Amino acid sequence: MTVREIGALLRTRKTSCVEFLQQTFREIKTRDSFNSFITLTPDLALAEAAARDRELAEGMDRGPFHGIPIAVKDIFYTVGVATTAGSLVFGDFIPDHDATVVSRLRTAGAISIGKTNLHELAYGITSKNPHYGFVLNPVDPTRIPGGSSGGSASAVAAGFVPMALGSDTGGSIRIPASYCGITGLKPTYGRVSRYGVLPLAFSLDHIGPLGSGVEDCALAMNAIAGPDPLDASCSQAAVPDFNLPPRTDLKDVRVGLPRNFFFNRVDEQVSAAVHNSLSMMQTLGAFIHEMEIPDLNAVNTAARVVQLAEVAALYAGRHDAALFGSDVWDLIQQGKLIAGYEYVNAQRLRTLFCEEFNKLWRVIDVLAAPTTPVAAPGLHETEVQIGDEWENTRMASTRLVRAVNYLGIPALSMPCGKTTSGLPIGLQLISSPFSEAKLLQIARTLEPLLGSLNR
Amino acid sequence: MISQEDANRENQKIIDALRKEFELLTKRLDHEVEPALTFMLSPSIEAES
Repeated sequence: MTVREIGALLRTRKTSCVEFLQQTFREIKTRDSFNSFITLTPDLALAEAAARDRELAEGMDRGPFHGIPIAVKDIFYTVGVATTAGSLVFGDFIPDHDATVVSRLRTAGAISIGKTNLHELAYGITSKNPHYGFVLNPVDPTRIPGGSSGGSASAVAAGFVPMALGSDTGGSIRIPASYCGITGLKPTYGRVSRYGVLPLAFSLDHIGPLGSGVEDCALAMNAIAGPDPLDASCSQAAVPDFNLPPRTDLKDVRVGLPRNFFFNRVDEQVSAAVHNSLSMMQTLGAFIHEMEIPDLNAVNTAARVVQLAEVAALYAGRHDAALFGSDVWDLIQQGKLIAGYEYVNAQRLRTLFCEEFNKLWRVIDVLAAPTTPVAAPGLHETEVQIGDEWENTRMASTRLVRAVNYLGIPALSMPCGKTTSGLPIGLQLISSPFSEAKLLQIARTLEPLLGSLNR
Repeated sequence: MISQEDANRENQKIIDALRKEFELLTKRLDHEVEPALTFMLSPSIEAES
């Protein structure tokens, strides 16, 4: 169910917030074999639900999220509730305040039901957490949900909540959205406050929603986006209405179809589904502009240097390898090998790459591409086969999404069909800085056409 | 289970490969290019929007 659908049930008194929350917790108890959550907070949630019911009875409606259950990735501070980051390092950490985005959603009436599982420290894409259990993909539990926001994605894909908060440093919202067949938005850098969110890589971290559909993400953006005096990296840019109604067509929308990079080394079924989505956009009147784009392999290389160094800066002082999963520990050690001048040069290259890439927005409104080159890999596949080639699962999963974090531009992943074995395929739509409202509206317009392919 | 020494060697190998690709990119930099540290306050991308 979507935020709107649950809201309609509550407002027509077909159910109460308390009854709906009780049903949600029953569902999780009987059906969550996916390890979506690290901590559930039924007592807190039911108390909030009772308060939201009283408000509705008194005629007070906080808006679309009034009484709606949501889930929060376990790197967001939640007052009085453990925030582990899926790590032993933060195993005992109980924040004394909420992250800005958690607080904003609470004010909007949303009720957090708990903290979702994730790849340890949000540093990886499998969500095979060695400390809190592997998160499984609800579409096919023998496969990874993607990560690092794997628990948030699985909670939405399993239908426990219509929206969950995630974070995206190198694809961590869009990869799990793609693998689990849901929608995920990584907004522009600075659009959403990161105050009270455990950092991974300061200049690459983004906060955003994962939703059962595009509107769930748009409504979440209305609740969470905007300036925050508590976060110096948060933009002062004006906040529009992110939930614009779907258009009747896509006339005057210029869609870039990249000739290079995005369709190299991509599974045939993924490529076909994304091209089919482009045909649908064309049917709706969009102008499809085939084009060469800047070299994103180069951008990925520089982005990896930035990420490795920034994460190492946070954990270089930790010397007890036993506290970490071996994959995360190795990445931290690799980051310590990056020299200071190399990090600075990676940030200097960022200046050039941003200038170069932003020229695209003079000729197109949105770039369409696959989110991931393959559908969800098996739980134990360390490599994936693409055509005749084999590629490391982490590198393949991040290959088409990482550059967007470094460039700071918004990107959304939405389901655009399934493989013959029934696994979801993700369409990635990328647009210019601070154009999320337009991006979401284009996605909402396209969504009904893709709907039948996703069932 | 691989030894710490082997893991260190493997980590060094990964960074050496990354460094090789990265050094080619830095040829694009002249002395006028400043780091995107202002990126962290977003004015550069706001200016584009």
